[in-house]
Amino acid sequence: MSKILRIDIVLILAFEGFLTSFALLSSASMSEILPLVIFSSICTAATIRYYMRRRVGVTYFFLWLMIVYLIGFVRLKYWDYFSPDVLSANLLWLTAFVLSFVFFYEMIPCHSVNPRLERIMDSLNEIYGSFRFLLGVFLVYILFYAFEIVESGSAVHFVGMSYAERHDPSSSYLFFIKTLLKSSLLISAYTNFIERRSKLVPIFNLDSYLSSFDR
Amino acid sequence: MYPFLILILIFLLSTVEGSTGALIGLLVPIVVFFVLDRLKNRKLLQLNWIVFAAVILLAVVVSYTAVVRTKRSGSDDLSSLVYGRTFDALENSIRITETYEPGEHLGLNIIVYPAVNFVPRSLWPEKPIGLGRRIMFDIYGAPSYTSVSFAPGLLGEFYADFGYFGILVFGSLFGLILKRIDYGILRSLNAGRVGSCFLLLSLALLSSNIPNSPQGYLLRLIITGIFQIIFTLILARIIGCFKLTNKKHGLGSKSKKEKTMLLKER
Repeated sequence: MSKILRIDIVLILAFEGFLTSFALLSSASMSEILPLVIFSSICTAATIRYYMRRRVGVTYFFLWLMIVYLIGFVRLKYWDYFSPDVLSANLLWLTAFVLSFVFFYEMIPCHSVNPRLERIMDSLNEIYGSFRFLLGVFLVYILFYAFEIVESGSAVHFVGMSYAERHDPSSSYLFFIKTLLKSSLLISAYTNFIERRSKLVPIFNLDSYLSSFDR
Repeated sequence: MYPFLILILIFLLSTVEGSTGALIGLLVPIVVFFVLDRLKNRKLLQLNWIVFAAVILLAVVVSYTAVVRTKRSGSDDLSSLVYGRTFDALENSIRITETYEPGEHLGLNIIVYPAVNFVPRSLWPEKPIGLGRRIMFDIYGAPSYTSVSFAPGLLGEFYADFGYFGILVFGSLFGLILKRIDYGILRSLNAGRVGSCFLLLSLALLSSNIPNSPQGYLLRLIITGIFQIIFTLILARIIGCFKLTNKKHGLGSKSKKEKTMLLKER
């Protein structure tokens, strides 16, 4: 297990090290290098710490934060839009945001279980695991698509529509409902798939065959 | 087998639709779920065909989205992914701090807009617009009919709503919210609740997109979560597969135990 974790951490370190080097190579002044190093060090340390503790949300958040802001920094250096002082000031504010985030994430206890919330989670679990719900949502989803195709004129036109045509601001509420519908369908499909896969799709489960590698 | 076919169909429809973000969002939860499950059971080396297939598909999808995005920007050069507008959150944040006064919007982007987002604009033409779209007009001088938004970035959004103080306060609030979600994922996984685990996973992954999302408001995470739960409960009532039986008669606990056993066996 320890070997496996080390491989994971080496991958995370290599990825974040690559991003940081990429940004550092683009920067020319010392006033930018220090905020860059502080920001990426805190983000890397936080990513590894929370990965080890299996905290999905915060691990993804830090990984994505580094990608967005370090590549964003490289991009701005390429175009030379802002002075080094402006860039370093914004990186420092970003670091302040990250520190505030980590401080509260660490300090505020979160062990209490809200019984009402647990009941809701139980109910949702039951719903998403229901095959009837899956088929019902699927039907609504297909009807939604049929409506969109009819509204666009033809199936060929629907496929060829551009981004702007698909995201008409006057019908953003339809997009919102469709997002919720798609999300429900996806969660339900995954839940049904995982709960039934060991019985119905044994070919996908090679655990028994590969378990010898784990010894 | 039906859930698998439905997943394939969603994948195909998202491809036809050209929804590049959705394609990645579709595959990542299953990879994360299995990695979490393997880490929990200390069996990370036990490869799983589903994860293997998802990782291969992710590589294909990421390449596909990169090409689509490059073409959309009107360039043939892949380096435009870095130098184009894909990662422009930092630039927009800086321009926001240069254009607006600290706290000028006073909660309009983070609190008001997400809360009223679902109201059709045909019913309320004066409905507020998000900061991602507002900067198109105020900073980039786009025409009023534009449907495009740019990512305002975390700093830009908190600054425009509550000034520099907002950056620190919302950093802490965001930390609190993500902590609740992360603990919820672990509790669901330990209790064998696959459905609620996936719901919380999708929210956790949504939070990772916020720094670079054109609708990158913090409350989107909360609002989407609340709307998702309400929407699912209403839909389940309409479909008729949910009658609150587990609460009144203790039914459902058996199936929960069965699910826990099944997951333990795996």
